Amino acid sequence: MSQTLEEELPPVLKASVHDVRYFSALLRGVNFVNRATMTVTDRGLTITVEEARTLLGTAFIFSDIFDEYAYRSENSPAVSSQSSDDVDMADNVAFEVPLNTLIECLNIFGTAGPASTNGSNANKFKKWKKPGDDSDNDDDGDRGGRGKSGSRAIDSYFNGSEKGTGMRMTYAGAGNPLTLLLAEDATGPTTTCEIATFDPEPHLELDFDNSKMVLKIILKSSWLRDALSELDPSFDKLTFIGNSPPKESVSTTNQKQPSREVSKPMLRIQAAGTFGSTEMDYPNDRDVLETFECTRSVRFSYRLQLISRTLRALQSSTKTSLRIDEEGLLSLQFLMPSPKPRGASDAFIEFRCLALDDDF
Amino acid sequence: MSAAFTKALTCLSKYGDELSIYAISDSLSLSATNSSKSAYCRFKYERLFFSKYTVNALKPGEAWPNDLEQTMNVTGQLLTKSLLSILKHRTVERTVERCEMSIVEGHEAFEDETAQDNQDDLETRLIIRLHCKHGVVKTHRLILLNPTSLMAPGIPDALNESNLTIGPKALKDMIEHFPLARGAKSDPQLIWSFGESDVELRSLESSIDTKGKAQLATELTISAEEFDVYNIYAPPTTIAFHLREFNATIAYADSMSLAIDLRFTDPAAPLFIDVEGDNSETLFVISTSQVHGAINGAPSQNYIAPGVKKREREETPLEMKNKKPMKAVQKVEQQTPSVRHSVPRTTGFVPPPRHTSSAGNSQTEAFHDEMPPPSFIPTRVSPLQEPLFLPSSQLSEADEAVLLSTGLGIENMNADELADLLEGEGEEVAFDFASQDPKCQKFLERPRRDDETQGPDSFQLEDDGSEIPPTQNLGDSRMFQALFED
Repeated sequence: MSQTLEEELPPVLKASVHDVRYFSALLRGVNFVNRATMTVTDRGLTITVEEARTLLGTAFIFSDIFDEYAYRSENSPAVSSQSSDDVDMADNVAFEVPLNTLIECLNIFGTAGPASTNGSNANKFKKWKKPGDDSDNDDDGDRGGRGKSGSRAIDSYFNGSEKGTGMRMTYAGAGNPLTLLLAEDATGPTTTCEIATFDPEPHLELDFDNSKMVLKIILKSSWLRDALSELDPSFDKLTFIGNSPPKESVSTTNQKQPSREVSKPMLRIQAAGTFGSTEMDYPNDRDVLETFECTRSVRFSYRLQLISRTLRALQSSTKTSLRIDEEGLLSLQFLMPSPKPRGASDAFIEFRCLALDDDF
Repeated sequence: MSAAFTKALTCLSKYGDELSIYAISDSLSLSATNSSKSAYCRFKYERLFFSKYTVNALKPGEAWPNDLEQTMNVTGQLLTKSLLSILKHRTVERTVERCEMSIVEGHEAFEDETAQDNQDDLETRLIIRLHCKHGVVKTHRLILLNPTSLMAPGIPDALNESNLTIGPKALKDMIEHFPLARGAKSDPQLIWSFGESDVELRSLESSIDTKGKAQLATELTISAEEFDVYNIYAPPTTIAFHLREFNATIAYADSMSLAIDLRFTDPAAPLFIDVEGDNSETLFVISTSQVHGAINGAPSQNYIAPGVKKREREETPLEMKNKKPMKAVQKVEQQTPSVRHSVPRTTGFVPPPRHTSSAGNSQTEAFHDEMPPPSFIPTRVSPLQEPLFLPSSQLSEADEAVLLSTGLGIENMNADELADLLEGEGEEVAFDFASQDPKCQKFLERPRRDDETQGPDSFQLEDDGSEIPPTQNLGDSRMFQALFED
């Protein structure tokens, strides 16, 4: 039945892009759990993963990232079995895919990873040799990115003079595989990948209520990235402490400031483990914290292991928005710079994480 | 300053995992000892090395405590790598403008700035505060342990001391000829022969490495003129020592462009290395290995076990392993696990008088040899042994199981018959099992007076000897033997 419909109707999702690197980078940002829910709407795609019923990672990929994007509503009950679970989203189709497999398929030519910024990087991928192709490609496993400067993330999108992998992605509807047609160029080989899809499982609902927000910080991603990467891996708890800007010393704890410091640290990131602890204080300086809104002093702790899941997305992002609501729900949004110069809306990746209960 | 300090820590981390800190009023010492205590490394920084250095942070004008000697030092121990990873982090070099380190004793925070800790501070902590650009302050607190023992090197005998001075580059060029990078675990030794006018370096390794490959033997002779100071007490002096820590020393001296002073007395005494810089002095002590027949240049390899990682402490057991008599003793003890397991069952029972110790014992050994994994022995042996100690007329379940397991169709045998089979004809029973193994049979047939340490017996079973630790429950075995002798 659905077979015949499929032939008559256009597929539910049809998207194509000439270079999958950006798309692939966004997927990698949430690739900490293999099973991901991909939700297709008119405006774009969201890819959602969750871990430990505590951390929710979502990549928002807008339709204008793709060269071509067509979504056909599948909302007739005869065709779709799962369109009934969309309550908040007006019209969408959701399915689960193994994220690892999807990312590996995209990188089948070895040209979906971030472009190398230095020529010293050995060609770790076997890729199709093309005439005149002499540039190397970094592999996407370079999640640490250590030793490379912070500009790597942006460079990786812009200096891509080499040809990337082009993709045409189709999804015919429930029960059908996600089909990827991949090619490096018109003359080269093409690959068709069919990735099995699954019915979506309900996800953790972590709604961030802006009216209950107690802390909002926008800062350069490099600050947070350095902070997190400097923490000893043995640490288990990460605490964000925000002090409200007026110096009324409302701190919940007996934090005293060194007298020579002019301003009180607005943000303190603190981590503790068996072998010690680390505190990082960020002053109220426009160079450091672009936006700082704090209604009251806050102190919430999270499992460092979960927060570290954000590092991959953090590394390729430019700006980070950190929000905490009065329940301690942490929302981290990472702005992922789009490679398209024509002002396509930048995708972003959002993480939401519940606070540890045993705080205070 | 931070760079020098980080280099020192890198060097210390090669010497040992644990870093000991010893601070007195005018200097700070950092030391590390390797796990086999054959290499020691100490960095001592004068207070001038630091922009600011205080111990106990006594405020000016405050009275000094009377017992100045005791209070004015601070000690602590921590993992080198946790400190190193903080100071060596890639962002540190780029952003850190100033680095403060302080040690806060538990419950007595003298400095105001350290009092901001909001936890109960019972532990002594090392606080590293990094002042970065834009006013970002990063504070790392590492818990300090009380040093288990402060290692102190012996003082070299100055009378017959030889000393040499050489630049790190020249030394590095010499060492480079000896290939090291065969894996992280390899730790070759070099034999240094200091003659009148030239120095001979020779690699000292057992002829076969862990993989059974023959190794490259390298020999290098250089003129004594390569050394800035060359002062040998008794010219043909030969010492040998491991390279791993020595290389760390060279790397440090090289990175700091500091000359290396070597001091040694005789081949048995450790090698002392001094590296002095501005406001810092560094002492390295590396144990030397005995080189037999050093003058002849024929190294004995008795002391060097193949693939040895740790030195001196390990050498003693290795040596012992080579001695056959030692092994004989081990063998007797090693039997005891199988015998010992039957002891709890037998306590309280009088052994049957007609049971001869030789039969019982050889039986045990027959099993023992037959079944390779020692852990199997008790379970299989015990049921068979039980009838030996159970002069009962009823067949126990274990007995029946034994009869069934023989597969000889003798399940209907009664207890006496079984007892006869098992006890009276001890040799016959043993033969059943030993027949599968000619070696066992051979020594079963050998006449035996006593089950105590028998040279040939132990020799036979030597193969097993290396598998089982030698020190198992000698006491138990004695108890058991006494039971037999009744």
